[in-house]
Amino acid sequence: MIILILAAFALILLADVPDLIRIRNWKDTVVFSVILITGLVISILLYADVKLPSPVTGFRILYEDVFKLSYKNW
Amino acid sequence: MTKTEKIQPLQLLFAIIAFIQGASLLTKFSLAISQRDTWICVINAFVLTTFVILIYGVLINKFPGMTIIEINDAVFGKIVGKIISLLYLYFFLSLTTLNIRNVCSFTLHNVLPETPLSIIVITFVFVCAYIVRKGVHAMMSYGFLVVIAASIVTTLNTILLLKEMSFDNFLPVLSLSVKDYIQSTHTISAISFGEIFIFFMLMPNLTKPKSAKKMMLWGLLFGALTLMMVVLRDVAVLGESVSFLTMQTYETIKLLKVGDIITRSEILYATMLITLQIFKSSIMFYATVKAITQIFNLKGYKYITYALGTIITAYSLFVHPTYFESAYWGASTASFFSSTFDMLLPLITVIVMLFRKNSIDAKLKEANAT
Amino acid sequence: MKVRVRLLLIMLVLSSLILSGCWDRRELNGLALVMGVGIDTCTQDDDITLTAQIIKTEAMPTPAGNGGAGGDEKEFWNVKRDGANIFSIIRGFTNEVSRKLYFSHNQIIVMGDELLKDGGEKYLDFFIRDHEARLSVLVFAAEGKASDILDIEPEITKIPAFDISNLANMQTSTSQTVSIRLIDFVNTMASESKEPVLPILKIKNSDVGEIVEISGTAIFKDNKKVAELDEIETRGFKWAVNKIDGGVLSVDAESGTIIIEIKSSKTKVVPKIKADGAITMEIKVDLEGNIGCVQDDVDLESLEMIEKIEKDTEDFIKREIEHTFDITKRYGTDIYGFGELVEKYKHKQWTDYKDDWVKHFKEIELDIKVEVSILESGSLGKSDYTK
Repeated sequence: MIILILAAFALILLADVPDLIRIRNWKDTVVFSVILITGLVISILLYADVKLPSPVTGFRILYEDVFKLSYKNW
Repeated sequence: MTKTEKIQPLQLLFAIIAFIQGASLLTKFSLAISQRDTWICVINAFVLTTFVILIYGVLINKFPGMTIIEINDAVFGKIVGKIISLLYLYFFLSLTTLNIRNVCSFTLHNVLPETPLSIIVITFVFVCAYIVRKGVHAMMSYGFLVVIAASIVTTLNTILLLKEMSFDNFLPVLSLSVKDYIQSTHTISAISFGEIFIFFMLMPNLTKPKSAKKMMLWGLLFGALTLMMVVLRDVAVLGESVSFLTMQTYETIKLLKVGDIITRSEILYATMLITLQIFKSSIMFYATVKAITQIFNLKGYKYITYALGTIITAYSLFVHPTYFESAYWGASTASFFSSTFDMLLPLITVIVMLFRKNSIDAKLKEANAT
Repeated sequence: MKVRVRLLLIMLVLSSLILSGCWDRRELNGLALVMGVGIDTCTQDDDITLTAQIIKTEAMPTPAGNGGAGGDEKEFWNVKRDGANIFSIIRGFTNEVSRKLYFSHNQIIVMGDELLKDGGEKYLDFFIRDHEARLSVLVFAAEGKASDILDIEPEITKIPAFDISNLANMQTSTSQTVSIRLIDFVNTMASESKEPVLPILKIKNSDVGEIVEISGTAIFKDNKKVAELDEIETRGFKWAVNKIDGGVLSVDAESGTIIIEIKSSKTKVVPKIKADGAITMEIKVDLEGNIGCVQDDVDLESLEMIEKIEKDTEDFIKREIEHTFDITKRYGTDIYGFGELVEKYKHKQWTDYKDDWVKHFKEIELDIKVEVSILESGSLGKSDYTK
């Protein structure tokens, strides 16, 4: 299963990086790598059934408790 | 911009209508709160959003053809502008993910119950990413067909269900508490209508940038009319149960029965809804990608499309672990979260812009001269 | 160009593999199509018995010729199972049925008498919640056990569930039974004042064996069954809720018995609240009918006679409505939805009544106005032609 995830990411890598290196666009490559690696890490964590905290939950707590802006508080 | 990137004003209009028609998936949040009087909240939300679009119009007139990221830079200055743009980026990312999560949950529960959610999400995101890679023109050109199909399907369903409707399901009117009306109006306005804020990322692609405000207003009108028809139909057919069912439109269409011939047409509705949502999600995807490109000053957006797709796929799988979290979010905080970004921040931008008018004018002249 | 065409073909082939669904593949011969469901109480504890009527697709006659071979074989199978709640019973069916139960084509739900007396409608939760089940399913009450009703083989169609649902759809010609879909039942249960009704299925002994007939209506109070209305009383109920579509009235005029055929009927009910708080329901019935059949000597050519017949019919209908209303007053069940009418049209005063609506319901007075127009008399001008 994890092979499939790695294979998918490798495909995405192959689809785009050669073009970028050819044009020698280092900034794009860096941003691309950062995004891809973030995606890879999250995917592997999800596959390993690690309970990731959702940022939306964080926002919910922020709005409900800190700003006190939520319809549950009315 | 090459030809593949330019959008005609009429295409923008249809894109906006399609956007709001896709919001019929989200009627359950407002129907659960304001029940029979939801139609009143739709009208209120329409009026409220018209004012919001007028605020957008100020920004569009002052900075024609600039995306919200560029506007932020111009109004707030480089550093604060970039910080606010990062917040907007997070908003776009959240919108895309929540939308994809909603439509994939719908597909999961009603069409493909046994399939793992990740497969549905991967397929969906792949399609959206592919559309975005092919260019803006590809994305917008089928908006027209989608709108026509969706309007015909909705109208046909409404007409065929006329004999199941009982109009005293709307009585008694105005019997709920004020809090319910405010909450429902806010929800419809911030979530269903307010998402057209995302079209600010498409401004550079328009052939006539100043027509955007007019198109938004007309698009809002037609989209709101469709939403109104959906809400009226659902309440008239389902009666009391509209407040506790989770998929009201789906249940309504399941009741459709003309003779013995036109039955079981809910799969048609599901197909149309998924098509609308693909359209909507690909535009949101494009907005997110464009935002990253502009914040980090990258050369092109095509390269990061698939990479971003992986993040969105992974994110939509854990953004709401269960249905109940999603329902709680929709019922309590979602409207505040959305309206911060699509109502409050643009308003603040306009106010700051008015204060700093002179220095902004100078900067723009400078930018135009170079 | 050729590369593109090949690529397109490959994509089409691949998508046909994917579109048929992988985890969700449902082969037609892997499904057990459930046509009808019966729920009964069980002898032990609080369990219930669920009966699912499954079509035996192999036993159905095929046009290819060997249809006659299975002539005596039943085309359906009623599986019964006991359990504590509906969902675990349905899953448990896989112990006996070699296919997965598929509820999308379910036509009817029959609930047993004992179950309804104890308030069994909470078991319907599964049929509302499940994504494949429809809210347009017809609901019935059984006199006795629901599984007995589903066992009876009908004479015309092969599957009892189809037969029963066709029966329900035919009732417009007599308007003596009600037809309740699951959505109507759910809406009534969700209402604060209105009580549900269900049509009753009875087993009748005829000369070809046992057959199922719909006769009468079960009325509920606090979601428990309390009484039954017979056919004439059911019609009295339907007058007041604008559900009359057709039917035959047998009116006793002074010159004889006239049978009126109902062509169309419309009822309007308006709640009126008097100054002292008493509620009156104004019921206005507009009826158009034809003379169906006359078995005595009546001169149908005089206008006064027709007017007299109309007046007698009006009194007849009025008596039917009042009779049924008295029964419901006795039990204190608002099956008409009068409470909802007050809530809708006189909303401000509803808050005074809603807490003990039963008491106010018993004090309602009816103000019935009927207008009958007899349009035609068929092909016979007068019936006193015999000399």
